Parts: sequence; structure tokens; C-alpha cells
Amino acid sequence: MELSVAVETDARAVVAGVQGEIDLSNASELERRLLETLDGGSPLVVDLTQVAYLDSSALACLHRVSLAAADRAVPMLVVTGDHGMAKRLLAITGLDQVLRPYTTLTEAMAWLSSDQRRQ
Amino acid sequence: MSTVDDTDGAGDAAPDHLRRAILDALKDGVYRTDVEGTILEVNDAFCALVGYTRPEIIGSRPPYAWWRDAPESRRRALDRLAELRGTAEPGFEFTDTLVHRDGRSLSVLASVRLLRDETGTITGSLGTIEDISERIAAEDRAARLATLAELLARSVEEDEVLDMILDGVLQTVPLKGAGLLLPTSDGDALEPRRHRGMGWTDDEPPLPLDADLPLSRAFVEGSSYFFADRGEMERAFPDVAPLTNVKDDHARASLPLLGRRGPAAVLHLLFPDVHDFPPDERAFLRDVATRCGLALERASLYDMQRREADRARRLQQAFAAMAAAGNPEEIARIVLQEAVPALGGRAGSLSLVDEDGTELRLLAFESVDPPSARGWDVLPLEAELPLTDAVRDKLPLYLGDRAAIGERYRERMPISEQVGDLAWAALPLMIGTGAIGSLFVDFPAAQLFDPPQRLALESMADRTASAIERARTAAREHDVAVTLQHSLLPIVVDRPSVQIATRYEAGAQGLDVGGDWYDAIGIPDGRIAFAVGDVIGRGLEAAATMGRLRSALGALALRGEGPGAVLEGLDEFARSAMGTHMATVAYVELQPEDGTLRYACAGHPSPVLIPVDGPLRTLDGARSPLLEVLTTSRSRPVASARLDPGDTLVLYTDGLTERRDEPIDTGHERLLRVLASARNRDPESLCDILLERMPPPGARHDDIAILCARRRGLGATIVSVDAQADRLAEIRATVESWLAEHDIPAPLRADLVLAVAEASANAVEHAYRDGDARDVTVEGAVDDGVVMRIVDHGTWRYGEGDPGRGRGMHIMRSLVDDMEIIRRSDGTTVVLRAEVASEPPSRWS
Repeated sequence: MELSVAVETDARAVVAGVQGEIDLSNASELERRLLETLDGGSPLVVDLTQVAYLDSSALACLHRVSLAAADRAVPMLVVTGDHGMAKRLLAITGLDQVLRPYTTLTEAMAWLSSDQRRQ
Repeated sequence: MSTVDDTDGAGDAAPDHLRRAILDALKDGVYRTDVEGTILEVNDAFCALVGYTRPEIIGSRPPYAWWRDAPESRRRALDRLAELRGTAEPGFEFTDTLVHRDGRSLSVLASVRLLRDETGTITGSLGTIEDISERIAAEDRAARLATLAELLARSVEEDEVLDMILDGVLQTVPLKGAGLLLPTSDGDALEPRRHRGMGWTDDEPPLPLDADLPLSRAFVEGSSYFFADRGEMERAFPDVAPLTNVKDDHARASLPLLGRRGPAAVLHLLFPDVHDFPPDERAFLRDVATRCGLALERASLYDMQRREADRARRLQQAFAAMAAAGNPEEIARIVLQEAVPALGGRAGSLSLVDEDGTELRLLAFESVDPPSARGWDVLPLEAELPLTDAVRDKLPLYLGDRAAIGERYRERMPISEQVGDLAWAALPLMIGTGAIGSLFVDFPAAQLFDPPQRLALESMADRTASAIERARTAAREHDVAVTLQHSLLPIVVDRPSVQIATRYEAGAQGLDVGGDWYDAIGIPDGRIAFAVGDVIGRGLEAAATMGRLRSALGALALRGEGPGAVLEGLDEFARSAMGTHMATVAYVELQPEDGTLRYACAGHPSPVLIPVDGPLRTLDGARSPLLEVLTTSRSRPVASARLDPGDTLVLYTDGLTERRDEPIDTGHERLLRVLASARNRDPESLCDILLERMPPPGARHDDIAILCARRRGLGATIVSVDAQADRLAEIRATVESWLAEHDIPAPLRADLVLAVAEASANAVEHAYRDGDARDVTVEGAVDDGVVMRIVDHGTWRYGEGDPGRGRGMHIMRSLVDDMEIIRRSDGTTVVLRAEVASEPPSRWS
């Protein structure tokens, strides 16, 4: 299944840009890649704006990654875009209450900046 | 030829002057002729009869001047006279018609005898003539009167009698024309009812009785008027418009036709000539009028009797219709349109006291000119008007004429002087000691309001009150029962695999509601149970029992133990909880994947199966008695059938098929015919068609419940692949393009793709955990929506496994309108159904 994860690291966070389709066949691979990024201890921003398809397996993966991040006290943010399946599925399943979705990467980064200022 | 100059017979008879004196003393005319017929001698009476002087007569020969015409009787007499010459007969008598010098015809009885001398030689003739004109005229009149009487006796129908009076008078009296006038309905004028030869038109205005004209005077006074010509009439009645052209002048007579209670009509006669009316003609015309008056009187008595009988019949019909009427408005209409006219009223209104008891509200009115209802829509009860007074006083109010009305209500209800006399009755509608409203009746003439009339009016008010009260009670109870019934019936919706439609129709009357019910229950393993039942009984209690029975059936069905167990459980329930009510039920379980039906009927009409093609089937394989209250438990037979895709199952209660006047089988046959004619219709249409075509016309007494279920058609296989995670993308892509091919709009397409993928993922993840990988198949069908079926051959359960799978189920439910999970013996089927909106809302916003 077409899936790529581009990990970029800057001073504020690790940004994982996910592209392609996520389903049962590759959700575990995505999970593994995202868990790896937590090792650095930087906040994780999962950018789903380039995801063409995702299903409940992908949501389950994101949920498990968010639990792992919480264990390590690493902030995790999800960027869903303004339209698209990701935003809608998070809303349907109620995961938007847990995963802190942002519409744009800029907004997510801005939140992180303010958050770090407070710290 | 011997001639005898004189027959003085001097010497052998009385002296000449004495003989003359004797002859002149005779009343009859006497004449003597010679053998040639030359008149030799006449007496004074003869001269007077023919109008000629003695010198003019003596010496005249036949034909005489008074023989201006030659009646048959005279010709025969002359022939006979000739015959007599050869015989010894002395003479004979005959009737003759002579013409007086002034032109009058004269009927006479003539006798003639031959005069002979001693040798027997005829010397001349001696004749007498007796004036019998008056006798003949009297006989003729008597005969004509008898004929008239006979004619008038032929009918008692007023219309026919009027025709016969006119015809009879014209036959009896030589006339140019005749007219018959009767009083108008308000009794203020005379109107022409029949006329001929009078020059009247058919819309002659009524003649007021107070006009100073011979017709009205004859009617009012009951006396006859005779005029020799128009001038005489104009002199006697200056109001008669003088005719400038009197060339066409005629004698006239105005004769009252007298009945039991005075004049009933006036007969006006126009004669062809101008003449005085001698006493005998006046007497004759009065006789004619008397005969006509008798006939009219008889007709009016007959008419009155018939009207009385007709009125009584109309009243009885109205009362019967009121008792059967379903609502107060209909009762009011019947009272005002049927009963009030039968009692002589021309208008009326019916008002009811409102719920607060402060106002009187108009329910209905009938009026020729609605003074009786104008402004009476809502009246405060304290208003001083007949309607409200009757309610407040709880007593009938009778105002017999204009004066009585004016005395009581002058200021409030000025009555135009233009209208004729009138009378009012205001009758309270009493229920027990309370008045629920009032009935107002307006009469077109003054009324006596005698005890029989009051009794009739008050009886009408009593019947009206009790009918309205009964209808109101029935309506309240009916409303409550219908509301309860509907609140107890479930809302049944389509399943992805089955389209379902239901109907409940209450009986039209009063408490004929309650008891019939339907239900569709989803059993957890995917089967669907359909039930239609009938609690025998009516009204609130039956409706409540129905509700309990339905709940019990639902609970029993959910156990999934099959139709036999469900009915046996219902038997238990009936014994313990249904009191005296008995009930019937038809119960069917459908396995929507393979179409297996299992069913059982407890005393209920058998369900009908409509296949896509082929004959209809009545599912009568598992009949058993109705749910019993008293007997001990017994096992219920169960039968099987198959509902193929597109087939329809119809369950119903007997209200749909039964008519009171025909055997049950006839109703079932009619049902099969109607269903066959509509076999390709969807369940909703089928229900409508059944309700439209099946019940008898008119008000329905029984209630009806119907359930129609049609198994949706199997879809095409879209994709069938190994149940492997790496095949999910292929499933998505194939389903996506299939949906696009079927013009499913993009947002819905995406939802369906996701839902199908989630279901497929379930199969991949859980169906084949034993490692024996098999296929997953996606089928699709598009009708009024999209149905997708995801079929696998593993076993899995909702909620099994990790929470992600539960989330998947939740997502599926969120994305489609309906979802079914059917557990088959060899696997699982998920059926998804989505409506296709004509204007698809954006699901991604």
C-alpha cells in the first residue's frame, strides 16, 4: 500500500508528514514509524493533510501512538486539514477529543510555540 | 181534391167565438191546416211561440217561416205523416226545433193528427206544439253536470284535479276561455294555476286579495259575479283597467270554489258572446263551481293526508339518520334540512353551548334569507335573543306571529315589513336538566303552536339533543382510542435487506377501534420477525391489551427460539395477562440472507406470499386456534416457505377482507385478485392499494392492520477477493468505480467505500483467524437507494477484538442510513443501505 512518512525535525517539534492511503495493510507500519519519532523527546506533529484514505485501523494506530506519547510526556498534535476524511473520522469516532487536531500545520506550530513559552 | 174552407162545423159544435176562446186559453200552441198544409187556424199561444201575428200565419204554407232549418226529426215526421194517409192511425208526436221570429231556437214537443170527414177522407191536420226548451236545457245541464262530476272524480291528486277542473269546465260550459286561481302559499294573493283561452301568460303576477277586482272579491266574499259584458264589469269595478278596444267583448263570470273552510279557489269564465245571465244559467254555473269546489276540497284533503303521512315518514327517516350520524355537524345538517322542513319550518339554526358554558356557538344553519342566523355565530349566553333565552330558561319559546316576535324582540331584531307573516320557535336541547344548545326554527307563516305541534317540535329537539350527545361521546372515545392505538403501534422502518410498509386504519365509528396491530422485530442473529394480530374486542381496553400483547411478542421474538416458541409463549401470556380478551396472531420469521420463512398462525388469516412471478401463495401451512385464555398449553405447528429476492409477504387483519354480507373465502379471493393485480408495486404502494380497493364502500366498521415486506433484490457481485489486508485497496478501488458507474454522487460514494472497506477489514481481521483464508465478496444493488452486501464465510461478533474494530462498526453505522449484520450458519453478511438524496448534502463539510 502506498504510504510514505517524511519526518522533519526543527527546534520546536518533529513533524511527520504522512502521504498515501492507510488501512489494515499498513497501519502497523505507520505506527512503528511514528513511535520511533517519540524517542527524541520532541513534541510530535502528525500531518495528515496529504492522506488520501484512512480507516479505523489508522485511527487505532494514531490512538495508540498518542497513548505512548502521553506515557513519555511528549506532546502530540494532529493536523487534519480543513476538509477530508481525517477530520471527519476523528469527529465521528470522538477521537478529536483526545488527539488535539489542528486544521493547519501553522496553527499546530503556533500552539507549540506558545506552549513552550509558558513552560 | 176536396177543400174545406172552414171546419167551424157550424151547428154541430160550440159557437165559433166560444171555440176560439177555448183554444186561446190553452198553454200549448194549436194549429189547423188543410190537406196542403195551408194553415187555416191558430191560437194565441201558437202566435206567441213563433213570434208571428195571426194574419201573418193564417194562409201560410210549408215551409213555414219558423222552419228556418230542417231538423232530422221533422223530416222523419213529414215522411210519417205521408204514410199515415193510407192507414187508420189518428196521429203521432215528435220533437221539433222551431226558430222564433227573433232568431231564438225553440225546442217543442209537436203532436199532429189527421182530420177526416165522415167518409174517412182526409180533410186536413190538427197540430199542437208544446215549448220544451227549458226542460231540454235543464236536462242537458243536468247531464253535463253529471259528466263533469264523473270526470272530476277520476283523480284526487291536486295537480290532476286542477287540470280536470279546467278541462271539465270548458267541456261543460260553452266558453272562450277559463282560468283557475288559487291562493299563494302565504295566503295574501291569488295566483293563476291553470288557464286557457284567457290571453294570460304563464308568469302572470299574483293578484292581491285586497284588490278591488271581481276575482279577489269573489274569493274573499265567497260570492259569484256575473257581467254581461266588459262595460258592466268596468262600471261595477272602477279598478278594472278600461279596455280601449272593446270590439272583442265577452260576458264574464267569477265564481268562488268553496271548500270546507271557505273559498279554496276562484274560477274565472270568459264567454264567447255578450249575454245576460238568466237565473237558470247562474244556478247552473254555481252548480259547476260547487262540483269543482268539491273536487278541489277532496284533493286538498287527500293532499293534506298524504303530506301528513309524508311528513311523518320524513321525520322518522330524519330521526333514524340522526341516530346513525357520526358527528354533531352531520346531525345538525339532518335536523335542519330534513326534520325542520317536515315540521313546516323554512329555515333554522342549531347552536351549542361552548365548553365554558358562557357562549352559544352556531353549529349550522339553513335559511332562505338568513335573518335567522346572521350575526349569531357566537352569542354570549346572556344575550336576549330567542336562541339564548331558550338555553337560559331551559324552556321552549314559541312566537306565533309577527306581532308576538315584535313584542318581545322589537329593538334587537327589527323584521322587515317586506317579508310576510312568520313565526319562530326556539327549542332548548336538553340533556338531563342541562341545556347543551338550542334549535331555532323559522316558519313562513303565522303558527298556532297548538299542543300537537309543540309536541312534534319538542320531540325533534329531544332527539337532536340525544343524538348530538351520543355523537360527542362517541367522538371523544373514538379520538382517545385512535390516539392510544397509534401510540401503541411501532414505527417500522425498512431494513437494508427488506422493504417494509405498515398501515393501521381505525374503524369509522365510535369505539370501533383498537385491537389490531402489527410489528417487525429484528432478532439479534439477523432474522426479522413480522407479526400482525387482532385482539378481539373494541375500545380502550382492547387497545391496551393489544399493547401488552405486542410487547410480550417482541420480548419472545428476541429470544430467537422460533415461531412455535413465540406462540406458545403468547399462550402463556394470554392465560395470565389478557383477562377475557381473546386474540389472533400471524407470526413470520425471515432469514433475510437466504429468504427462509418460518411461520405460524394462531386463529389469524393466513399471510400471502407474492412471488416475483408465478401464482400467489397463501401461507396456510401452520394454522392453529387463536390464543386461548382457558386451555392448557399445547405446541403450535410451524411451517416453512421461502421469500426469494423481490418476493413480497403480506400480513393483514380480517378487517381488510371481511364484509358482513359475504363468506370469508370471498374476501380472501378478492384479496388475492387485488394483490395479483398490484404484484410489482413496492410495499408502501401495495398498502395504499389494499386500503383503497379492499374495504367495502362507505363507512368501515372494523379496523385494519397491514404489513407488507419485500425482500430486496440480490445485487451484482462487485468484487470477490481473498480476505487479505493487502486486497483492501483493490476492494476500495473497485467499489468506488462501481458506485461511480451507478451515478452515486461523490460524497456518498466516499462514505460507502469507507463503510464497505471497514466491513471488509472486519472479515480480513476476524473471519479467518483459524488461518484458513477464504474470500470476501462485495455485492451491490441500486434501487431507491444503494445496498451493499459484504459476505464472508467466517464467524465474528460485533465488539470482538480490539477497540479499533468497535470503532470500525461505529464508523460504518455513522456513514450509512441502515446496517444489518446477519449471522448465517456458514458465515456473516453485513448489509449496508444508504438513501440517495436528489440534492446530496456535502458530507465532508
